[in-house]
Amino acid sequence: MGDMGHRHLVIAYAVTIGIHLAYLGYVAMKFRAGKRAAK
Amino acid sequence: MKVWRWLWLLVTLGVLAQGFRVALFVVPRDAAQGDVARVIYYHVPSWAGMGLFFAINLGCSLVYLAARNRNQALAMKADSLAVASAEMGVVFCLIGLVTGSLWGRAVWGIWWTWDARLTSTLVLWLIYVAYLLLRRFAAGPQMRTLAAVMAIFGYLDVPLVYMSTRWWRTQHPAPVFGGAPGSGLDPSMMPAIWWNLAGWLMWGIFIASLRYVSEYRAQKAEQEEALRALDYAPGQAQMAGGR
Repeated sequence: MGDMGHRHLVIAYAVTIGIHLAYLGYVAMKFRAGKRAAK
Repeated sequence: MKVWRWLWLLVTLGVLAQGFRVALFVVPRDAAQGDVARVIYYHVPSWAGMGLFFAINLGCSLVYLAARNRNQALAMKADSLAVASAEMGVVFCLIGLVTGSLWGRAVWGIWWTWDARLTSTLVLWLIYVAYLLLRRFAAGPQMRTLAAVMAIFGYLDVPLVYMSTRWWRTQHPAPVFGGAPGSGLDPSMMPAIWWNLAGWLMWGIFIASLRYVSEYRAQKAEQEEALRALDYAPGQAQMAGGR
């Protein structure tokens, strides 16, 4: 496994955090737009 | 954002940081697979998150169908939560598929195989993506009812995904929880599962609550606009009739 296993582990963690942050960005954008529209 | 939301986020980030630390630096290395087995500490919580949010989506869809003609306020809340939970479930499902594929490449030497667990999960993801696309692109009052019905049928795949490794011989490993005696993870590895399970579920609840608020506001604004248009229409009709 060695290096290849490490690389896959790092990518898996990075992808998990990356997808969650990307979705957080989308939700934050919608949240702000909704707040502005409600005013 | 309200104070309790900030507090929730703060605690969530603390739990996630602890989960990250325990997963990478505290629990022992897997004797057979080495460090790549640590992928499971993010992989399993993703499936738990998917199961939780698709179950919420199912509950909200049922409430929407039951309340849509009797209690519009409740129906709107249920529908907004259904959207938020479906999106969160799709995100968790996607992460589960990607992390599983990365682990499979390192351990099996292949990115993907069409076994029962993987295939049923991909189908589940596609069903909920289709649900979100229906909500995004279909118009008219029937859209929400159609989406709720679709969510109920879509959820039928969830128990199939869960039981697939029990019912059929799959390449996917045996279940971590509720498997045969002696299967699953070594108890020394469980703290990493628990911390990450708690952290990612708390994260999911935080994001879904934000998404719920924005969806509810959008639906309410849409409803108010429709009511304003109805108020405006008789005036227009009078003007047209007077000409």
